[in-house]
Amino acid sequence: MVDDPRDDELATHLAVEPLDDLTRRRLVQRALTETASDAVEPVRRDRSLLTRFVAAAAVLLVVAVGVVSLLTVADGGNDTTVAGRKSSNQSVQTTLQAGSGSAATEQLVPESSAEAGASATAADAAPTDAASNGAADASGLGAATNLGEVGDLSTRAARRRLLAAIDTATFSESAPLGVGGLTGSCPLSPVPRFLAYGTAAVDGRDAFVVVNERTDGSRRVRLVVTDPCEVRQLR
Amino acid sequence: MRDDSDALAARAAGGDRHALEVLLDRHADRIHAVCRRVLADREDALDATQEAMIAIARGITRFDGRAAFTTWMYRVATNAALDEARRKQRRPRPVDDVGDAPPTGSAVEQFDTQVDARLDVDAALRTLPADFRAAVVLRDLCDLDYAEIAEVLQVPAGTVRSRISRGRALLHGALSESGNPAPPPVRRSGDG
Repeated sequence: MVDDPRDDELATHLAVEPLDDLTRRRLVQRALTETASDAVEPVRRDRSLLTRFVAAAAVLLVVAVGVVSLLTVADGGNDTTVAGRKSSNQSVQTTLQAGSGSAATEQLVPESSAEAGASATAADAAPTDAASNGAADASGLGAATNLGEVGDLSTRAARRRLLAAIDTATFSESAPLGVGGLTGSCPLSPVPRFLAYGTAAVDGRDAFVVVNERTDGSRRVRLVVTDPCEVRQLR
Repeated sequence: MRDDSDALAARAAGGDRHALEVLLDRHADRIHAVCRRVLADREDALDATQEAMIAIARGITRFDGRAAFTTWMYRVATNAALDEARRKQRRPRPVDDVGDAPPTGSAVEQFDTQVDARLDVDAALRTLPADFRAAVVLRDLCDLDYAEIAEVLQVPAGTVRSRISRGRALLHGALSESGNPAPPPVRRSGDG
């Protein structure tokens, strides 16, 4: 498209005399004055946005650090346990003497209320001597004493012998312990101060014996039976 | 001039207030010329000029340099003038408000033919629709090409051609009816 030429006659008619200097300066200055606050406002807005961004970033950072710290503490507990476990090569001072079964009755007391009334039928299976060779090992229990395999605890007599042995045993030290690796999905809360642990069997199911110390110095013995998970308090 | 204005506009867009001041001062006459002829009223033109300059000062930070600064400036000025024209249409008009009334009394004799001619031009321009006025002013006063006018007015080039053609015809007819001869030349402030 070719533009029509400029109409010079109209151009002459339409010509406008220039503004006088005073009017021009007034127009320019007013425009600058009117927008002077606008020139500042974006900076303020930018600063406000920056402040909000920094605040949000700080909050996120704190949350992230908190989460990482929690994860680190959780992992660190395990690491500490592993470190303690690796460093504790001392021999076990405790010897669990597997005594002969007595006629005294003893009941397994399930921790869950649903199993409160359940009791194990006493049998005359004897714990093995393996319990006498407990040692701190790499099972994730740190400085606690490894009782080793304590045998079949399906019978009341066997459990009684185990308790008697634990009562008379001297454990080298105790340590706070994370037992997640040992008990798998089985919760054991609150995490106590552990003295010893061992493996066992109950009615053909794998189990763990966990000995911890109460605040009054007495010893609590719990049996963690797997498949399905079940925690029974022996004492 | 264009490159210099574009460079100034770039600096002004970056927050250089002195560059903005120079830019506004340099183009004040052109902005006023557009407003003056689109509105065909002296006082309204000054108001629109002020609004346009404020709009330029306020919007310069959004000027991205894709178009020439003058094109953008003419768009702002034209829009300010057309907005003022619309506002004026909505305002009730005094019965004696017929535009630039000449002074009364002895001052009337001081008006020379040049001023009389301008008054006739304003009267002639007011016979045109505002959109037609804007197209003719941008073409014949500001010397923009059709593409630039289309960009300024945000209409197709064909529409620009039509408005200019019809606007010129109407304006020539109005000026002829008034028996207005071509005024003596003045320094034009609308030349691009």
